[in-house]
Amino acid sequence: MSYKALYRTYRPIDFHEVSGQIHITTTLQNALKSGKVAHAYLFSGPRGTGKTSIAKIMAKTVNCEKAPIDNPCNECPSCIGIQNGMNSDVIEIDAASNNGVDEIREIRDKVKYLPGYGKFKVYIIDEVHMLSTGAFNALLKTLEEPPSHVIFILCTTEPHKIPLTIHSRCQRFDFKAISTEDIVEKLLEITQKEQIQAEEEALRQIALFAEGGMRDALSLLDQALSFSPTHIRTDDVLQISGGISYHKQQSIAIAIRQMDATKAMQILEELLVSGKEVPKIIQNLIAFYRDILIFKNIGYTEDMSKLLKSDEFERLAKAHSNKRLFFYIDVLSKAVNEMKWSTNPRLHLELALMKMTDDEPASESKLLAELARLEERIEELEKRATTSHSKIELQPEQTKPDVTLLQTESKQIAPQIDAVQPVVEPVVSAISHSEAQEETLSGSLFDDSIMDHIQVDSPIEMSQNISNTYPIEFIEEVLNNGNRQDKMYLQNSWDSILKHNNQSDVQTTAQMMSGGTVVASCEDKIIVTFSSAGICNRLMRPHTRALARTVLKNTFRRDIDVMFLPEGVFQVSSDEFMEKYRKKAPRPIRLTPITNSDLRDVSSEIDDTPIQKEQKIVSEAVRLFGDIVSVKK
Amino acid sequence: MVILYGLDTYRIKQRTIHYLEKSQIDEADTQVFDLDEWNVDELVNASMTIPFFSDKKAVVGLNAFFLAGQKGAKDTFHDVDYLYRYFASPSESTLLILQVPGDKLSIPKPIMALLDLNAEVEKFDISNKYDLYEIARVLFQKEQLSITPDALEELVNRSDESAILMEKEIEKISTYAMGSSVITIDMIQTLTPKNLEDNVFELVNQLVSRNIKQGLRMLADLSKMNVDPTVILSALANKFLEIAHAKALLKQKTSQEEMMKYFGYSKGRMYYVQKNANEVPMELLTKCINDLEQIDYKIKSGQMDKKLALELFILGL
Repeated sequence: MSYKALYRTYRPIDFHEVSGQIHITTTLQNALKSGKVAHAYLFSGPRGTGKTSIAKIMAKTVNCEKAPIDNPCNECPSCIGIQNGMNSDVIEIDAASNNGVDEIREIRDKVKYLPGYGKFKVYIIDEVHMLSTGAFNALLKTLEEPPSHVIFILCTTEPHKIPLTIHSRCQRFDFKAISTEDIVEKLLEITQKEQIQAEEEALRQIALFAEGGMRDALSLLDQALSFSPTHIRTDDVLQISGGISYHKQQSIAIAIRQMDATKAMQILEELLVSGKEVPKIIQNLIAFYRDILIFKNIGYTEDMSKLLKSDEFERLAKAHSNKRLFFYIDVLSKAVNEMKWSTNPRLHLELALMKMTDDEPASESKLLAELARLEERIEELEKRATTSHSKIELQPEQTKPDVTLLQTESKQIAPQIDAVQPVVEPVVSAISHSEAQEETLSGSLFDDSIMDHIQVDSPIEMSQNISNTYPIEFIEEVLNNGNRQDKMYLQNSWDSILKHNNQSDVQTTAQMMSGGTVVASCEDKIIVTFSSAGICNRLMRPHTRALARTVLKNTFRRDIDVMFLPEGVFQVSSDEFMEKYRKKAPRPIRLTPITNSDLRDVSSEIDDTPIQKEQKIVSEAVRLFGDIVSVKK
Repeated sequence: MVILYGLDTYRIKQRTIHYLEKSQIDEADTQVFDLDEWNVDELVNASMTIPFFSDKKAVVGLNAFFLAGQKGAKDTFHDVDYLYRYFASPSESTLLILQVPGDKLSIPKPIMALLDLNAEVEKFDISNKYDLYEIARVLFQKEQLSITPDALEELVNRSDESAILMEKEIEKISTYAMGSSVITIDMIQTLTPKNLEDNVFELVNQLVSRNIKQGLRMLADLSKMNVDPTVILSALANKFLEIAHAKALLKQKTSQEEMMKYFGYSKGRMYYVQKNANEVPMELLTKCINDLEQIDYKIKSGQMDKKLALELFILGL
């Protein structure tokens, strides 16, 4: 008798012989036992996982003379007939070549005839995804209401290509790839039966190459058998599969890692001499580096070779950085790509090896590391420089511009002073008017404010007043460090400031403040808005502001600095802030100074203590020079 | 006479079976006409003939599109008036059941009035997800099986909102579970297949939560199913875009219902989309989409192996 390929000889003939797929065999056997066989099945899964085999076993079982049983007897004429493909009740169709509507129509026409021998007609349609749309539709009708003596078994490797309408009419079973263990077990069984001597490692390697397909595994075994009929060794398996042995891969990887180009080229030479093809070598190397990468990142996975579980491999994985592995894979992939257009593929592999063993990437990365370190150092230096810089240079620089400003602008200022004067007077009278009603505010304060306005003609004060009504830095700081939650909290409990401040000294201030709204907070500083500018000017005077702070402390039990602003002014600033924020302006975000004719810088209007003056100077310095200013007291 | 119409073909089918069982008509006395293939006059003629050796017979007409004002198959000609005349004087020994797969009946008013008198007209709207849970529970009860809540959830998720599909699955699961009394989530996971979109959906969920190991395993499963990596790639890109979309919608304070409508998703799925949109930073999304675009180019220009490229993408996250 002519030789029959192993995968045909050892095709499972009953459910017990099927490797893996326990969930499917159990279900089917249960269904057979209880007579709940469905009229249509859809078997899907990778090739060589037993779809057609199980379909045939099903066909045998339902038609077996001893039915109902859960396993075919394989003895009765029916079983033997089906096994040999002689039974006309079991119709096997390859949809890949019979994919038209006409073929399916033919099936439909014949479906209604009763089976000739057994109880059921079984249609096994292989590769059913190859059917045309029209054929699917034709099949649909039959699948929906098939006669009770018909069972359809559709097999496919690509279930996603089957229309949903077909899916929903079949019982679908997903075949899983057979695990390496199961394949090895089966291979061992077969080698024992066939009295073949084989290294277990060789069988394992076969199982790995088969990637879960039993048929591939058996074909490979067949090939290996004809290659060396007496004893199958691991190397033989690698030889016929064209793969390079793991040890060679490893040694090449080690050579590359050690930047040893000579060694790497030597191994390559050996491989080429032993008849390996260049593309296969590259593919193997890419796969090897991929395995390292995966192992390095997530540990062992089932689809990885057991061979890889060695200390050497782990050491290799540790020795490579992710970046380096990506680089290697990149180089190799590029080489594969270039090879296609080249007459000399070997050259590209050699080039790739050179590239990988060249110290370049390492030195490049070294360079990068060096650069990063330098950057860090520069930053540090800068930090140190700015602190010392401000220490040394701030004083002269700070006074200088003031002086120059004074000199250059004094001429322009002169007429402005006159212009300011008439404005001041009504404001003063307004203040005095309101103060007349509030007895708590002493007359001395009143006097001071007048005094202050009279002092307005001091050029320095004026030069600041022109551009600066209220310091913008305060708003900047609050907005940049805004704390929404705190704002909400303050807003909600704002009314309680009256309750907490009923002592006579702060009562009035509290009353005035209670009319405002907290619009922003950075915990230790807040902004409160009022509808009119007048009340802001009033509250912003140092004395009142200090009182306001006390009020806040009394209420919220923490130190809060506060700025009072007219609603419009705050709106302008916060809009600007929002826009810059959205445009991703460099943080912290700087804002343009406040311009509002109704506001006056009142911080120095009364009791201009030296400290406050200095604060003024500092804030001005900050405004002019930005971050580099640091204050030493 | 019974006329069953609506888009829920599954329940219409169930109802037909229910009527046949109730009237205790033997299977041999039941004639089925697919009106996509038979003209309606054949059906009427069959209805008018008296039953053969029994008291009652049943005639079932499938796909009566013409009663919903739709066109059926090309090579059929339906003499509707003939049917209407039969409506006026139906045979007493025949149970006629017409299945109309449309959401509205278009029957002239006088005929409708006739039907009101001597027929039962029932409508079956498409079921929502809640019904699926109910159907599953009832079916399992019939098999005297109980199911754990998480398993039920998983089953409904994997059934693609199709009652027919779920019924098949339940049939299969109960045969598998023969001998035990409780259906667990493991059984569902081993037996009920997931479709590609579900798989990709889960894959994205794993990726955005940086569960790289699980992500790679799912990718391996997908490629074992022979799904082309480029298909996975475009599905991945779509999902990432979707999250970005959801992010924008959330920013506009779109409600969950509106978003469900926008994406056409079920609640359970929307939950994950929303969760991802809330948790995943925009930078990661743009990075992923950009990377995928690069990979797509590399694959399609033949610079990289499809599978490897996807694996590297996941590893590089």
